Amino acid sequence: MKIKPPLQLLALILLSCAVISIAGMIAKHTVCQAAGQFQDQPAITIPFLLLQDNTVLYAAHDEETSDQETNLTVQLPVYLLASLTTVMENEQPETITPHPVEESYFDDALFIGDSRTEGMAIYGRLGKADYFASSGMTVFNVLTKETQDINFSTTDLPSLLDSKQYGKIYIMLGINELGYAMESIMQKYENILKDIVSAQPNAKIILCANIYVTKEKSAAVSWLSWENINRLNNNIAALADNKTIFYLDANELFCDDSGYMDPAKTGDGVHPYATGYQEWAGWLQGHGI
Amino acid sequence: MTFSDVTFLFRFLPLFLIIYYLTPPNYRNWPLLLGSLLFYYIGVQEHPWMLALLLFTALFTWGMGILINALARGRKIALGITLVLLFGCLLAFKYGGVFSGSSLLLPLGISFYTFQTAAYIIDVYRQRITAERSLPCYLTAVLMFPKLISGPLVSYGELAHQLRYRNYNLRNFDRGLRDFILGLGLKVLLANQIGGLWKDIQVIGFDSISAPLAWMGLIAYSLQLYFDFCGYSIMAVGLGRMLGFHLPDNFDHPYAARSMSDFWRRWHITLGRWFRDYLYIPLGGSRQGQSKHIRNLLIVWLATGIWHGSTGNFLLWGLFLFALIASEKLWIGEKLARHRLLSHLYMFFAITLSWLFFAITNLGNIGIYLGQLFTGFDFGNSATLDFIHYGKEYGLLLLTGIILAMPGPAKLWQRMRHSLFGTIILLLIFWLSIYCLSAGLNDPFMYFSF
Repeated sequence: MKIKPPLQLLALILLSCAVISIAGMIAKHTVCQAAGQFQDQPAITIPFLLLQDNTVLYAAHDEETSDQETNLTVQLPVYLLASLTTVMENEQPETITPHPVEESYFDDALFIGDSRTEGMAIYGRLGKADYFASSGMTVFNVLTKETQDINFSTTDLPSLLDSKQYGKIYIMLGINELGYAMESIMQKYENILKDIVSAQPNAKIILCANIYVTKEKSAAVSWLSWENINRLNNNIAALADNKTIFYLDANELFCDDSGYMDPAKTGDGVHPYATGYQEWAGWLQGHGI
Repeated sequence: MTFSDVTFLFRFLPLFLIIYYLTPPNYRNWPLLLGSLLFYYIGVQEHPWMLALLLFTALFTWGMGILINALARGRKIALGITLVLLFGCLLAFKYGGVFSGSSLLLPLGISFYTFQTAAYIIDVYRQRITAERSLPCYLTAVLMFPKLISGPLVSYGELAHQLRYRNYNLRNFDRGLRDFILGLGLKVLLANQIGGLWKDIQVIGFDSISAPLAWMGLIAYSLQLYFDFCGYSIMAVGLGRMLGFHLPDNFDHPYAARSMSDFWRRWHITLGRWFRDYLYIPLGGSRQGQSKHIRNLLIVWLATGIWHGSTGNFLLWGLFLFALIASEKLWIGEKLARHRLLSHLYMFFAITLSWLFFAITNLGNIGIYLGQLFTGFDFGNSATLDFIHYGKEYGLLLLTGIILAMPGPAKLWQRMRHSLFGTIILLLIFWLSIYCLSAGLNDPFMYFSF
């Protein structure tokens, strides 16, 4: 069938619309429904949403596996098992008090995180630390995403962890993926922690609390509510054993009495100003572990 | 609902086009009028009084047009009353907040439809056109959704004939569709993405950016503003063409201009035309001696500043433009015309610095940014990475923007537009844009609060 030239573009658009809508509808009612995502989005946008961020596929998969695991004996991660045994042996877990350190303390440090850590890498660098950070970094892609920094060229995290031994590893992740099921997030978080601990047996791991967002931002984006971020941070804190895994919360630096991020400290409700990152670096130096 | 919106593109527009073309040609103003009412209502559904205001403005000016046409005496008074009410209303909404402390919500499109209807009534008064007797025709002209919210400003004379007779053919429709997609791409793929750099700089905080990054930021803002509004205007004209209308262009490669005076004949052309026809020339233009000429320029440029925004920086912006244009008219115009390189260098600074006053509302922040532009060379701390970091991220985009702002690519596109290659490119642009829109990389259209 030959289509008249003036109609060719319209015909192509209509055809591609039909194909993409059908693909979107199929995805919406299978994979996305399983993950509980994108149910309110038009079908035609679904293929593009999946292209941009296929976390939905991992989240769906994780929920399936976690369903299976509840039928088996619950397997605790090794380090949690260790801290349980110490409690059972009537040893009090040590409480570590953060203390001021020299900047050189950070020479063997690694910071892993998202765009806020990226900001630290640009505006609040400490010593000769390495920063493995990228906008959009989540627990779902941190092991596969590649990025670079001053001291290393484009690489992924497992390769970086194989290439050198760090003394301390700071991890700040979670806020980008809060739209997904908390169980999914924490499952992935624990797996990554396990991987890092086994790759870096001599490193202190410092899990960092996610900084809250402004009240305005929380109101605009439902999964960035204070309660949700708080729940995430508490779950992360529960992973600390105060022997090799610690928890650090810098929210006092950015939040006001309401508990939300102070609007005066941010240009977009989420990221601190450059001066904020400089303050954060100073705070970290005052809270060495 | 804007043109670059999934709901508009996949729900409203296809449905509207089907109904429009199923309607017999002589009655097609009706679906256009009703569709436009629906379009506006969807945009203001949380504040339906805005629709009432729009309808009242249209009905009122239609009635006054017939009245002025019919009157032998008292025409000037009728005109005066109409204009006072029209502009009084506009100023009250725009500036009410400045004096009362609380800001009134600005009705969608009010800056445009006020100017649109004012032009109509002035033209009727001047007897340039006869008053439109048909209310449906008049309402269609004022409300038609391709131009209702953000222009182009079209004189009634240009529309009158088209309201009654439009030439429908597939080639025109196809051309309109191609322009529409091009405009969509300029807005979503270029403007929105380049704008990311300006957003990033606001997140960093103006006091922490280096000079190179500050200049990159201004260039990014300049390109974003241009492609955003130019893209929208091309979409509007394309939509009009798809419906059988010929609407005027709003942009003619303004960044290729060699003087600010020339720039404003190429940027938002229909607005410049409005100020020229309904303010500058009635004041006497350049024909009543030099001091009156300068006075008229000052009035027009202050008015332009005020039209764009109600905060102090827009006044500053208007004054800055006036200073440049007056200087060109009095002293440096000839020199710029003679020396190409010099004029482009002059325009680089004139354009970027004028947009600085436009982009930042807080005067203190303008000062900080200016400071960084010219003194941000402290390369002793880690912030030196900033322009390299952002250069890597946005360099290619900025370069693409600069190239596409020049006249050459447009000429090339005109030759390619209807070829198979052009068709494939447009298909790609369309789906890439939908990808960006779906993934939420969206931006409010900049001229929206006007």
